Amino acid sequence: MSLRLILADDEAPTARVMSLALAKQGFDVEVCHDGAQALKAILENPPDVLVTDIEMPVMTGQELCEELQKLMPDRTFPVYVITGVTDLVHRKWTREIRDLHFLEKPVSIRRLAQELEQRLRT
Amino acid sequence: MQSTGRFAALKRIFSPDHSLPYLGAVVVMGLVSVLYVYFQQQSSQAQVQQQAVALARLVSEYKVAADDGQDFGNLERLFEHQLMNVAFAYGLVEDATGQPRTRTATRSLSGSLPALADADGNWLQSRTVALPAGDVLEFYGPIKGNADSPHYYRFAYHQPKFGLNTEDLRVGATLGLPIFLLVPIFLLLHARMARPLKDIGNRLAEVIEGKTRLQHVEIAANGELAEFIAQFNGFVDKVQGRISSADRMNRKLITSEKFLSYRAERFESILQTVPDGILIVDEDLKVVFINQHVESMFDIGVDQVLSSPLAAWCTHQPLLDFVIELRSSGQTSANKVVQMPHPDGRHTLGVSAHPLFFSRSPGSHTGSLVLLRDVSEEIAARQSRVDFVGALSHEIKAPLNTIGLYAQMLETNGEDGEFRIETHNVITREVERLTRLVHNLLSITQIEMGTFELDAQRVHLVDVVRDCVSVLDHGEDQARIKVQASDKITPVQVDKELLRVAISNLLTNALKYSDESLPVMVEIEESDDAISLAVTDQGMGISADDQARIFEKFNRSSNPEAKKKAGHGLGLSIASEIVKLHHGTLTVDSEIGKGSRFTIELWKRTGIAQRSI
Repeated sequence: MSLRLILADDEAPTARVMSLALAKQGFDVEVCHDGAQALKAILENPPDVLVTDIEMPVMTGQELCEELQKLMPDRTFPVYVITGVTDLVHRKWTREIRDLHFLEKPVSIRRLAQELEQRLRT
Repeated sequence: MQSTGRFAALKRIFSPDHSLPYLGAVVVMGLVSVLYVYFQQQSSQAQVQQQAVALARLVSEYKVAADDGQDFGNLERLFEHQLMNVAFAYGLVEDATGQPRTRTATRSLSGSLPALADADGNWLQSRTVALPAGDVLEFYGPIKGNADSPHYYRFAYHQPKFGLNTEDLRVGATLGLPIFLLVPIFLLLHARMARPLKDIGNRLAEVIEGKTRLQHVEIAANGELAEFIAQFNGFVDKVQGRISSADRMNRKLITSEKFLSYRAERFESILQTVPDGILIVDEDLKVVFINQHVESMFDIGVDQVLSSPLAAWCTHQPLLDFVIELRSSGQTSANKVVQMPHPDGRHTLGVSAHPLFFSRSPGSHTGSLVLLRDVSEEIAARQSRVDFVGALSHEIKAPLNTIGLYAQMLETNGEDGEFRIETHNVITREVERLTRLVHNLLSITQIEMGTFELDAQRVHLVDVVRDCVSVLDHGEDQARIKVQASDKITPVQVDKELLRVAISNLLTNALKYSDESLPVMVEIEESDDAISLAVTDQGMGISADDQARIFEKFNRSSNPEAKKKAGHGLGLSIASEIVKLHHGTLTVDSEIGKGSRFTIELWKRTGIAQRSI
């Protein structure tokens, strides 16, 4: 059975190409274009993994993660945050959020797929 | 000069100051005269007495033979002979009845003479007889030899008179002159002897008046005066030594006082000029010093708080806590900077404390220096940089990420023709986006370094705006922009490429920060002096605080809604710099919730600068 993955990214080409690539790796991908949409999808049906960008309209990736921490403190699925910044200053907020991982841009789909396979299948 | 000096000396000798010696001389002369006259009198009286006795002896020895008038002829001649003596008054012979037998008298004695009252003795007697011409001393006695018919002789001498006669005057003058002359001689001698003392006195007076400085007295003298002068010069040496050492001390004191006051003033002015607030407290937390910045920060005067405990006037709890903490921790090393709200409630203070020690005994802690600095700008600048790096990182990595993902997909999905076209389009667009970003970055770097050269051309602003619109990514965006401009607007001399960057940035912002359904207005207007271009949106608007810093590099809005939009905080800074290069102005007019209006104004006459600033 394929793993369910929610992808939140406002940049249409990125979202499209990532979903294509992840689908090719065997994931069942649901694309959301902002944080609010993603939160709604998660609350309705929690995925096996959440992959989200940070800079998004309506609700940013940071806000989405903070909301999740509040609303689903016992969530079991990991969260992958795609980020362009490597500075720790920009990552301070993630200390309060458990099971959160960074994906640095430019993202390697192959490496992401491998990591997800390892983490989720075992 | 010499003669004047002599005259002056003479004048001094006869000056009224010396009346006392002269008066004394006169008194002495009087006394001498009186004594002289007195002794003269005594001696003439004695002389009269002697003459009288001698005459009486002659007369009494005279033999009277009978009552014969002839017999008195010798006596008469004797008396007449006596007239040679000026003191002799008269001489006569009387019988017992008082009838004169002979009479010899000086011419002045013409009248009758008083009778002898008691002519009965046998020896020489004398009495004073008052005559109109003056008193005379009369001698009388019986003429021996004729006892039955006694006869008496009488003769008299003028009493020596008291008073000065010409003779006395001559003698008096002869005696008085030397006495009188002794006075000026004495004064001269005195003046001569006193001259060195007077000189010394004059020099001392000059020293006292400050005309000259104390120095040796060089006066030829001998004896006691020479000794005195030597002693005096020794004293002068001592005093001079004291004076010069006192002078040295005084100069030292003045110099060190000046230096101290200069140092104190300099330190005070340094402490006042330092841009930070400075608060110095002693070990008991009493205020020792505050500078003007602290005064204005807490709205207090230095006089109100000096020597009073901090807690007595400081209502700013965080600062009070900070300083109290200092004491309880026995602060001996510099604290790190602690941030606290500024008393004005808007800014942030960075406060640090530094222990103060006596320079002489470095171990003893005497209080603390508290530095208060408004760090709002620093914090804002730091935050701006952090935001900028984040935003720039995102702006660069987002297109790279997209390109990378498509490249990875090409590997497995390359056979798909449609996907290849999509990949081509995406890569082209993302490269353009990157190019624009790099162009902006380069522009601002060049503008800031002053190495930018303008390529000036005459263009219609409306053409530049249309150019900007045409390169926008999305058709929807292009459609939102409404341009209002008259065809008759004068072309302006500008660097077209640069101005396109500026206008593009304004347009991109207007589109980004307003709802997709709302239009963005571009209005170009011409006045006598200037041509203006205004970009107006109906978006979220900008707060007054954000407006103040809106053209600063790396500055991004503090509005959370605005922060969600991608941006690197460079667009408006670049636009502003570009407009400045054209000697124009870029202004903002905005209201939260209603929208913003950015206006570029370019002067027609001045045109643009041919070279960069």
